[in-house]
Amino acid sequence: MLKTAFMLFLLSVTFTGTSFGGFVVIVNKENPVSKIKKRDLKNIYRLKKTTWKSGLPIHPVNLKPEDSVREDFSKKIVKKTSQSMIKFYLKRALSGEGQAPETAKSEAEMFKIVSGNKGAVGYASRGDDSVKTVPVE
Amino acid sequence: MKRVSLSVGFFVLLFLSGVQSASAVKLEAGEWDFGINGFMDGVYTWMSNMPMVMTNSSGMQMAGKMPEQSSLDQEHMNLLFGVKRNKIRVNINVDARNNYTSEGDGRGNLKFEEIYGEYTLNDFVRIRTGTILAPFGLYNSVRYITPLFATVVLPQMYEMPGNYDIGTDSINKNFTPSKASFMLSGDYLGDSTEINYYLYISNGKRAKSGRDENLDKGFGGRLRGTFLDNYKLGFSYYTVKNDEDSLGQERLYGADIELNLEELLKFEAEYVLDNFGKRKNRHTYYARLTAYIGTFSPFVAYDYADDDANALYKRGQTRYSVGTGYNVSNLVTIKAEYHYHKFSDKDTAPALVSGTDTIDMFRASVIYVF
Repeated sequence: MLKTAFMLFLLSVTFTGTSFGGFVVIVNKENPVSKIKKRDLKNIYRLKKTTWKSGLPIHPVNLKPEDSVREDFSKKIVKKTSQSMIKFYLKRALSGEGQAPETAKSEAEMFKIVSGNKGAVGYASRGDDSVKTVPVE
Repeated sequence: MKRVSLSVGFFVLLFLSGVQSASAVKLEAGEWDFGINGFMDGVYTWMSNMPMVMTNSSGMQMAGKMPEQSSLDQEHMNLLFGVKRNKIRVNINVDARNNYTSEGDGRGNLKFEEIYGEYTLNDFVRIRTGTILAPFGLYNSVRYITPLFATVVLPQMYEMPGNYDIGTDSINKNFTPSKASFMLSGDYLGDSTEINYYLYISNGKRAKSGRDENLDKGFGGRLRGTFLDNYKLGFSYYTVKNDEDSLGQERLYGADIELNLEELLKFEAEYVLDNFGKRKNRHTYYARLTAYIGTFSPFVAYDYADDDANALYKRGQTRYSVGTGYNVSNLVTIKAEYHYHKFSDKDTAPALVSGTDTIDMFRASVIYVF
């Protein structure tokens, strides 16, 4: 019984595309990436990793700072609060090292932006038919 | 009086604007990303006295000191324009300094601190060319961006105190290089480890003939490692022949460390050795501990600079500092700090200046970011 429950848990983690709960990571359907490492996701949102392996420029998208899904994503992936990341992006912009990721006003807008840009990556509380959900390793 | 009232008016404007929300201009049009960021700051400085060395008409160096003084100035108005398309990025950093004086004394200065284009081949290789602030130590590449550091003024290795130049056998130069013209850089991004490298070429001093001699070029590099996300160690090197002081081959060696405890404490320390062909070495180092308590960021710091060839700083200058920053909002920051400078006694021939052994200094600044 316990073994079955454990196997079911493993399967659910594998096929829902997230090990963290609370959010799923999404990319454009034409992006060949099938999974993404947590460290790569962290470096994308820290503006350090700027190209996919295919050579496509990465276009990260955030939800609004006050969104709880963004806070959850920021703490679990980037290991910083949303507020800290606002300051981090401002510092990066002032030092000329990059602009803050685009901000979507809602999850519907997030899906629209990601589905419209081949290099885009984002996150939301659920998946959508217009985008591809990728598991985080 | 007019200058003071204008400066006060400027600060009031900063506070009033701080209560409003503002953001940088950011536009996205297809594959193009445009961004405009910037900041303005004003600084109040008070000092108890300042040693001076002057050369009279006979060429004799005379010791003295300036009396207590204070000033209130709008220091920077900085604009950063950024354009990005796919793998190509162009940045222009314009800095207007001291341009808010009303007395027409000509001290205003508009400078292009950086203008460069950058191409990103991949995470490991980026090529940047133009006018670039040389990456050396923790702060050289952002030395003019005051919102990025906790203090009003940078350590002495980046910003020597005023009146350093005595006119003979010394030059008013920092311990770190100025600007580069071509740079190769890249990152290795691991799970909790990161390695950054930078290699650059700069223009040295032009030969007396006026030609741009390759032998006068400067070369430098920086390597920095981040371990367990919070511990950073860096090494910097720069060499140039016939730099502005024409004292032969110069070599700068730097080491820096940064330790972070979550988002509560930060410890920074750096050391730079400046080795000349025809002059004694100079060296400088500092250490600073900063705490992050809500909207406050108090700090304590120790800073030392030594230059045997400079009559003023032959004795070595130690600076003890204590201060704090206060984030009024995400866009407005206030900083205030007290410095105690002390010239040390050395066994070498006494310094020319014996007018003072200590200087007290207080500085405060208000920064508005947009």
